[in-house]
Amino acid sequence: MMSTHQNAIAQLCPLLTNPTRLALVAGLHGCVRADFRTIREQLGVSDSTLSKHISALEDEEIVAVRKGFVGKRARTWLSLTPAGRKVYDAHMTGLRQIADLAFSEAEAEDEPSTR
Amino acid sequence: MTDRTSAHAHQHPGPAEARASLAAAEQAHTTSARANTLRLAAGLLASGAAMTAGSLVVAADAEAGGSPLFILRILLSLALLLPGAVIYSAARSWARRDTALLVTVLVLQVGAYIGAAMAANLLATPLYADLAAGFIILVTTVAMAVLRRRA
Repeated sequence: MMSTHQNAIAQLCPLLTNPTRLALVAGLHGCVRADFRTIREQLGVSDSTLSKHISALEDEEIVAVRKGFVGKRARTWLSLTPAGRKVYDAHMTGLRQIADLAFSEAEAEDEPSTR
Repeated sequence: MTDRTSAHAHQHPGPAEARASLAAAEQAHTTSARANTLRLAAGLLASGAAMTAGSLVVAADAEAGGSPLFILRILLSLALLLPGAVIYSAARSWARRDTALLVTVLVLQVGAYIGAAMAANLLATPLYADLAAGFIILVTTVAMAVLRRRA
């Protein structure tokens, strides 16, 4: 039988263990869509760094990229795919379980000493 | 998609890392949701101002018994929508709750204005248009309060 910790780890997405990618996906989770420049400014990373992270997430079908024009300006819009939302939700559930597990373990350790 | 558990199986976060990641994700989520707040607020303020001015023009016109400049004044009032549209067209992200807020507030603002204009004309009572102006200001203020909680 799978332990709680193993179950939590199984829900984690390896791609999202990178802090920049996690912040990118978390930001998109609250949006219908956002443009490249907005995300770059929020994350404080360079164009090339952000492009690499987006490519990795696009390859895994977590993020959808749409290019278009607003007037004469080219604009790249990013959004989470339905699969990406599920991956993010599962990843967050896994992280919460790991964080809660730590509190449960600490409480278990504290119990004998308080008696 | 690749197997989520096998590719980086050695990168398991510990409890402290998990808590840090949760906090970082929450922060990114909040920052992103706020990105469009000022532009949305500016757009809704402009639409509120336009509909309020329009309602007051209707009220003043009904009270004065008509004016040849009525249409011009209505058009000038509604022209306040333009600065709102200019700033809103620069929106670069769209939070998931923005659509519901925008549609609700616009429907209430425009609905009050049209309803007041019809009532003022049909019933020849300017008071309805004045009340509509007050209602639009109230709706816009509530929308600003909602957006302020987010900012």
